Amino acid sequence: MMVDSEGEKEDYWDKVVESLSRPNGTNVDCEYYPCHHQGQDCTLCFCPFYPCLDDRLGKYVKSRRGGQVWSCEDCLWIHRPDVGRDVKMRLHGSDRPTHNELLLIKKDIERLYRIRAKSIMIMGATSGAGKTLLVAALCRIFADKGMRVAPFKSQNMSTSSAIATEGGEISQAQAIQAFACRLEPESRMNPILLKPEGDNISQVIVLGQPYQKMDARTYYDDFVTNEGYGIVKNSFDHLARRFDLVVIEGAGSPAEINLSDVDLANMKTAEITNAPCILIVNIEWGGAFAYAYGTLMLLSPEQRSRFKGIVINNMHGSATDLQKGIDKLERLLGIPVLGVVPHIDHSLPEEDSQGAHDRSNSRGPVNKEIDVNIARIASTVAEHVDIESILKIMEDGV
Amino acid sequence: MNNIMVLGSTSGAGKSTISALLCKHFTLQGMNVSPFKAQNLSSKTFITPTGEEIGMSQAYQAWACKREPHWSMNPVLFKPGHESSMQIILKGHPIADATSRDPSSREVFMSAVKDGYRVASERSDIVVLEGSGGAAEINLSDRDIANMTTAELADAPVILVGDIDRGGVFAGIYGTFMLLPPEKRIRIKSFIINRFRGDISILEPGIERLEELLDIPCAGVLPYMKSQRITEDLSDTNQEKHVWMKNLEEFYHISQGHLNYTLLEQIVAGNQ
Ligand code: SF4
Repeated sequence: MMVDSEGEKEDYWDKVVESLSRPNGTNVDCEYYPCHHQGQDCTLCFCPFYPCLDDRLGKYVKSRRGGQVWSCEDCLWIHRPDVGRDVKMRLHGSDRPTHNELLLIKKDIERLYRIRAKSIMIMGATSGAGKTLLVAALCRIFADKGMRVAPFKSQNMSTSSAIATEGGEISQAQAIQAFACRLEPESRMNPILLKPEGDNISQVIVLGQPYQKMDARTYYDDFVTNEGYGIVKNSFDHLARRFDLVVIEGAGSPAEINLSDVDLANMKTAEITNAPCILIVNIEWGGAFAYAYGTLMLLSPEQRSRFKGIVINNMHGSATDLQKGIDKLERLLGIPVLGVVPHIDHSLPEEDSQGAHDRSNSRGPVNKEIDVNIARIASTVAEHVDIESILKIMEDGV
Repeated sequence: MNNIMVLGSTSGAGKSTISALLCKHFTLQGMNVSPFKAQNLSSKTFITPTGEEIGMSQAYQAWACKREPHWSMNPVLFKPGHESSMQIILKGHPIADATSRDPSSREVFMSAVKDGYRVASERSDIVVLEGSGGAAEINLSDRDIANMTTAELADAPVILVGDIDRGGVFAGIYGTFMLLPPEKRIRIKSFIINRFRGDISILEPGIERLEELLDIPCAGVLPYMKSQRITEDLSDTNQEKHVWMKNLEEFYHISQGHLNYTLLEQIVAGNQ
């Protein structure tokens, strides 16, 4: 939406009132739809706060007549369904408020619906550490607390993909996490998907669409250092402008010291998203303390300082035997172990990056069984992990 | 006494196979070799010709040494039974179901380990020792007799093995090394990366960095081998032995291009 400065005049408010009289939600019949993004909420097609002059949301641009005009092109906040609903409710039946009164309403609404999402990132000491499940669990736990939550994994290597709402392909894991958030999957939740095709070659899928086939070297040396960074940044930014919280998943281990300069999926993503991080480690194979310690100590001190806690996953049997080790690990690393999650039996599809099984594309997994599994995983995680501390970690940031 | 011990950063890192490769290598050099695993947790066991029960992997390793399996090669064996009970087999013979948490049992197990090691070393020129699980379980450090405690008992130099298949191998090796107290750390003379697939040139900068950080050389990067894990449940031990020996033959052949056996020989000779 871009309106000339006349927008403040009477006829602009008429348009606001007219648009507020239409039903809430997405107006797919509008000839301009989607003017921002698929699935946007169109309740506030004409923004009552215009021009808010809030540079977290919009910006000044040059007008056709050489002056300056407030542009709302980048404002996705106003197209959140909850913001639309709430603003409409508050304006219902009232006379035209003054601009100042409107800005007070906006301030009030901002407290409920964040202008920029908080973020938290889950990294694993290995692949198969339980990142995907922990992210799905946190998505559901925070969604149930009333937050608008989205999952994000900058780069995923997987043979199993799902179809995003816009029609593109994303990894099945992010589709399941979207489902945990009670959202439709969209390609920005997993902007880069690598589908291994054998012999070190992968099909690179960008924002849901086939991009190019590359070997590992070309991917790291060319793609990551050039377009990769921007793709991740833009996708995350889009989500951050629409949600209260983005729960981010790393890929493999962040401490692959042979790749540290080109590892887009872990510490680079943490930097781009400015997310505090939690390390998850699978104890089933033994060596969990060594892997947790080694992972953090092989990172640079600045990188390490992003890590605010550790989760031990996949515990068979009683966790009381671990206490001595947990105490020692906390002392050595100076961050808390936030919980020990027991082994959870579930029937969600396993992710597999090595291409041993080939699963054909499945339509976005929306069914009861997945929901039951996610609910069970979320309640187990909530029972064994200190969620209050995670909330605080998100609040405090890096 | 010459010997060498293989420790892992996790269970399933490939200790058994790498120990078997070493058994085979030194046997081919004309030495009388014995495998040794102080303490094994396995439901797959083998009954020796003299009627003693040991872990199956020590039986394989014995065959790699061209010897008959012997109780001394695995003096403590935990055999999971029904309903979470655990059978304890000491020096080849079961004792009553007991729990390994009993504090007095550590002494009992330790004395079996000592007896086993003494007999194994008396019968051999070189003992190839295998650790158990991850070598740096800091929650168990005072109870773990199967790893560094055994290395000290045998005064053995140690090779640390990490599995790269799950990722995080550098962290696993680094963390295992650093979580051991310095006086134990100095036993670790080298590390091996196991189950690698892909382009080795991408891995190399990481290996160099780890060599620098730990100040020990890498003894090799072994490729991922399907046959490395025995998955077929063959009921006939002879057939199983045959399949396994064939796999070991093939893997030993392949390992020539990936493992620095000269370095490993020097480590055994105490020159590293
Ligand atoms: S809230 Fe958004 S749409 Fe409304 S004026 Fe501000 S920038 Fe524009």
